[in-house]
Amino acid sequence: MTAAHRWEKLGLRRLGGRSHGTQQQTVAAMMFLAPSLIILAVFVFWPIMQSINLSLHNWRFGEDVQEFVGFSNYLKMWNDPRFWNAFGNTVYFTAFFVPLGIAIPLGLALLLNMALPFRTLFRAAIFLPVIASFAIMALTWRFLLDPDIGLLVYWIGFLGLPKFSPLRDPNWAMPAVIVVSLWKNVGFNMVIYIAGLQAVPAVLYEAARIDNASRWTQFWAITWPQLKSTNVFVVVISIIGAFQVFDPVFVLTPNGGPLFTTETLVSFIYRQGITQFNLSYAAAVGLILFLIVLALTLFQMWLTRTGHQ
Amino acid sequence: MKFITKTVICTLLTMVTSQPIGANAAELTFWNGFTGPDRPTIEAITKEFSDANPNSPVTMDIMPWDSLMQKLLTSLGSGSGPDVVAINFANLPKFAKSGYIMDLTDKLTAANDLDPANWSDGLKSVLQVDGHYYATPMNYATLLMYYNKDLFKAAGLDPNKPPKTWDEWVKAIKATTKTGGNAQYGLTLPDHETIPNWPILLWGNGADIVKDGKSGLSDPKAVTALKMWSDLVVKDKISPVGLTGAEADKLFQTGKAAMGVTGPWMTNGFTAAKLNYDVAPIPVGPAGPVTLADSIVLLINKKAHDPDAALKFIEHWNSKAAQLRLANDTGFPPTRTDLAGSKELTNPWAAKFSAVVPVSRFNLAGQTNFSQINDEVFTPLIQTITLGRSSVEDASTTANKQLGDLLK
Repeated sequence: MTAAHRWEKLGLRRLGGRSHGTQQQTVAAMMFLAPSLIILAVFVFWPIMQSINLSLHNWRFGEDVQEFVGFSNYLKMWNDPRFWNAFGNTVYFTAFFVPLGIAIPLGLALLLNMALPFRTLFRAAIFLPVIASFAIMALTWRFLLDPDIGLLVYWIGFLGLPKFSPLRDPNWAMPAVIVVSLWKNVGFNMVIYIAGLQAVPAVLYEAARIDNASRWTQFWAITWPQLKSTNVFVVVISIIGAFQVFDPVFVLTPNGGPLFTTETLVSFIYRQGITQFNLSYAAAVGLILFLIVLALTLFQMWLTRTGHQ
Repeated sequence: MKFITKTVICTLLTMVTSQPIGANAAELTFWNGFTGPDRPTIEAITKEFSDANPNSPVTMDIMPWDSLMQKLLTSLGSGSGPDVVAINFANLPKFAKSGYIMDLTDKLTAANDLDPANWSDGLKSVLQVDGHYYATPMNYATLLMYYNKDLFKAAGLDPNKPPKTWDEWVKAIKATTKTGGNAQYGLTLPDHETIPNWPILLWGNGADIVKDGKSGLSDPKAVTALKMWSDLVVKDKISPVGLTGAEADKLFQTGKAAMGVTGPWMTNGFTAAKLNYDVAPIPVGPAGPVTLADSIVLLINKKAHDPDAALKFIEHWNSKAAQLRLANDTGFPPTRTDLAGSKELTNPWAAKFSAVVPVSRFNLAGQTNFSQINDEVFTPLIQTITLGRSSVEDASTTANKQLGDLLK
C-alpha cells in the first residue's frame, strides 16, 4: 500500500469519522434542544395554530360542533369602531411611549455616566421601579393620583392649581397611563444606554477634545453614531412592548378607562375573550396584533441590515 | 438508542396514566373568589362539611373573581374543572347554556335544604334558565344607604332621621355637599367596577334598563331619572364623576362623602375605621321602595366525579345552620326567607339588610349578554352624561339603539 493510498484511506477514514461525528453532534444537539423545542411546540406554536383555527370559527361555549365562519371575524373587526378605537389608543400610547422612552433614559444615562456624587444611589433609585410588580405599582399610582385622597393631587393643591383627576378624565387618562409606564420603564432603558456609553472608546473623545469639539458636537459626532446598535435594540423592544401594553392600562383605568379612552388592543382582546367569552373574535384581533408586531419587527430588522450595508 | 426509546415511552405512559400528586378520587374540589374579610367564615362553613363527611373532604381553591372566571372557562371547556364552583348570578345564563353544568331541577325538593319555597321570588328567577334550575344560592346581598352621622349633624340634619323619600334625600345630599378646595360629597355614585348604583335610581322612577325583553333606556321615566340625578352630579357636584366602587367606599370611609349605597360587606371596614355611621333603606322614589339584590350562586360541574357529594355540599350551604353562621359573621342576609326575622339572627346589620329583601331586585336578571349590556352600553351612557359629553336625551337615544341591537 502506497503512502498516497494510506493517506487516501486515512482521509476517507477521517472523512468518515467526521461524518459520523457530525451525526453524533446533531443527535446530541437535538437532545439538548428537545426539551425547549417540545415546550415551545406545545405551549407556543400549537396554541398559535389553534388560535388561527379559532379565529375562523364562531366558537361557542359548550357546542360540540363549532360553526366555521371563514373570515367573518376579521370583517367584523374591520367594521368595529371599538377595534379601531383600541388600535388608535395603542398607536397613541406607542407614539409617546417610544420616543420619550428613548430620550429620557438616554439623558439620564448621559448624566449618570459622569462622575457625580451618589451616582450609584441615583442609578439604583431610577432602576428600582423596573423590578417591582407593575400591578402593585399601578395600584399605588392610582392611589397617588386620586383627586380626593391622593397625595400628588394634595401637593398640587398647595401650588394653588385646580383639582385634577387625570384617571377619570377622558382627555388625561391616556397621558397619565403613559407617564406611569415611562416611570416604570426608564430605568431599564437607562441601564442599556449606560452599557452602550461605556462601550464607546475613550480615545474618540480625547481626539475630539484635541480638535476643540464642543460637548454638543461630541454627542452628535461620536456618542449618537456609536450608540446605533443600542438604539436599535431599545427601539425594537420598546415598540413591541408598547403594542402589547396591558398591565398599566388594566390596573390604572379598569374597564377601558373613561369612555374607552385607554382601551388598547390587548385590553380589547381581554375584554372580548375573557369577559364576554367571544373567543373567536378575540383570537382574530390577537392574530392581527401579532401580524402588526411582526411587520414592525421585520421592518426594523430590514432598517438595521441596510444600515450595516 | 433502544434504551432511550423505551425510557421515553415509559415516562410518557407514566405521565399520562398517573394522577397528579394530591389529587384524591374522593375529594370534592370547590372554587370561589371570597378573598376578602368573609374568607374565614367561608373556610369554616366548608370545614364543617368536610368534618361531617370524611369520605368527601372539600379541597377549596380561593382566588380573585376575575382569575376564577378566566380559569373556569378553559377548565370546563377541557372537561376538567372543579366539582362545585361559586360565581355571580349574572354569569349563570352563559354557563347554563354551555351544557357544562348540572341541571338541578329534579334535585330541589321540599325534602332537603334546597327547597325553592325557601327562596325569594327574585332569587328563584335568577337561579333558573329557561325554566330549569342550574344553581343554588350561596349568599344573598341587598344594598342599603350608608350615612355618616357626624356629617349629618354638622349639616344640621338629624342623624337619627335618615331621609325616607327622594325629596328628603336630595335635600340631605345638597345639605351635606361642600364644593371648593376641601370638597365634601353628599353622595357617592360609582359608575364602573362596582355593585350597580344607577339602576336603583331608574327603578325608583319606574324605569329599567331592559323592560319586557326590550331596551328601556329611551322610556321617558328613564330619561327623567337620568336627568334628575345627572344634574345633581354635574351641576350640584354631589358626587365625583367616574368613580369605581372601591373609590366610592374609600370616600365614605375617609369622611369625604356623607352617603353611599352599598352592601353588607362594607360594615366591617367602616366599623374598623371607627366611623360614626348607620344604614337605612334607600329613600323611596316615585315608583315605590326598591333596592338592588346580588347573589353568589353555586353550580355543579356536569362531570363532577361524585355528584351526590357535590349535591350534599350545596345543600350544606343552604342549611339553616350555615346560613345563620354566614349572616351572623358577615352581616349578609340569609338566602332563606324562613330565617328572616329569626331570633337566631343576632347580627344587627344582617337584620337590617334582611329587612329589605322583599323589595330587592336583581339587575339585568337572566340576560346572557349581562357584561356587554352593563359595560358597553349602560356604563358609557352614564359616563357620557356625567362627563357632559352629550345631553341626556341624545345619549339615551344612542344607548337605546345599541341595547336594542344587543337584545335582538
